[in-house]
Amino acid sequence: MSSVSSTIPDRKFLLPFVSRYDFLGVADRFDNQVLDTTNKWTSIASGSGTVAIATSGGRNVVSCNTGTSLGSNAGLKPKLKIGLDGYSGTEAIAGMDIDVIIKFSHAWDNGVITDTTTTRLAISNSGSSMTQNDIIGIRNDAGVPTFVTDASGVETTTDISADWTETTWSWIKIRVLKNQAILYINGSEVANHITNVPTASVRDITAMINNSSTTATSFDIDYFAVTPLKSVIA
Amino acid sequence: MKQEITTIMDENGIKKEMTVYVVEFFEDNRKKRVAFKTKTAAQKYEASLK
Repeated sequence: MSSVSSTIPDRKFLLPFVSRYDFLGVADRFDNQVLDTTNKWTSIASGSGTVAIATSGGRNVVSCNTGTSLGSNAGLKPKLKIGLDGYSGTEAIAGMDIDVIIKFSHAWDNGVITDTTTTRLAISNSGSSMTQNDIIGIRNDAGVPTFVTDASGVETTTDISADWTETTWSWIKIRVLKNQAILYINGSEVANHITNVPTASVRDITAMINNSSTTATSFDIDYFAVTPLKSVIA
Repeated sequence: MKQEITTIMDENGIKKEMTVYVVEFFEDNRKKRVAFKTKTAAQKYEASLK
């Protein structure tokens, strides 16, 4: 963390999970479609894996390149993709925590997405619909922030509009366990799904955070972390 | 419980329509919706909420 700059304003949170992360990135600012390299802080890795910061590629990647295909890395939106792809530990993994402290500056289509399809990262940007199957995440349902789990197209949803304002700094945690997904916002559990949870291996899950498909979008990430859970949590 | 048509995407990215049965309720003052592929499963779940 020695290279952390003091130029990023409006930082609201200390890192609450610093002692237990395996992958960690800090304070990357996306401005419109590009990573703001001037104000970008740094990215560090710990544990058994690595975090790569690049403008294209697969998981463990901050991706913010431009393009026309929503189904590729070259989407028209700033986005962050993280997962356990680089995790090299041999222990059994019972689950995964995805932590991010984030603030959206403009309208958003989909907030935090865990995409269990390793080859298809696209999500719909057509209004509130999200046609992709096998999802854990937050989406915009006609203006209503909604936590969704989707297994083969069949969904469980929870209205979290009373719990989250996307334009303020928030600590979002999604705990993914076998047949269960729990959403915490600022430390409080706000949704707990045990139905229609994707069954993919935790190691194959990609977390993707993106903003609206329109060109004038941005979001700030104060911290993000992915933590494999190596024992079952009651 | 209500019946709805949802759109899913198959492995080839082709959209398909599918009938689901949706149970809506409030949990901790938050509106929750749970969909099922079969009416029987939805009815069983709905009964478990009572």
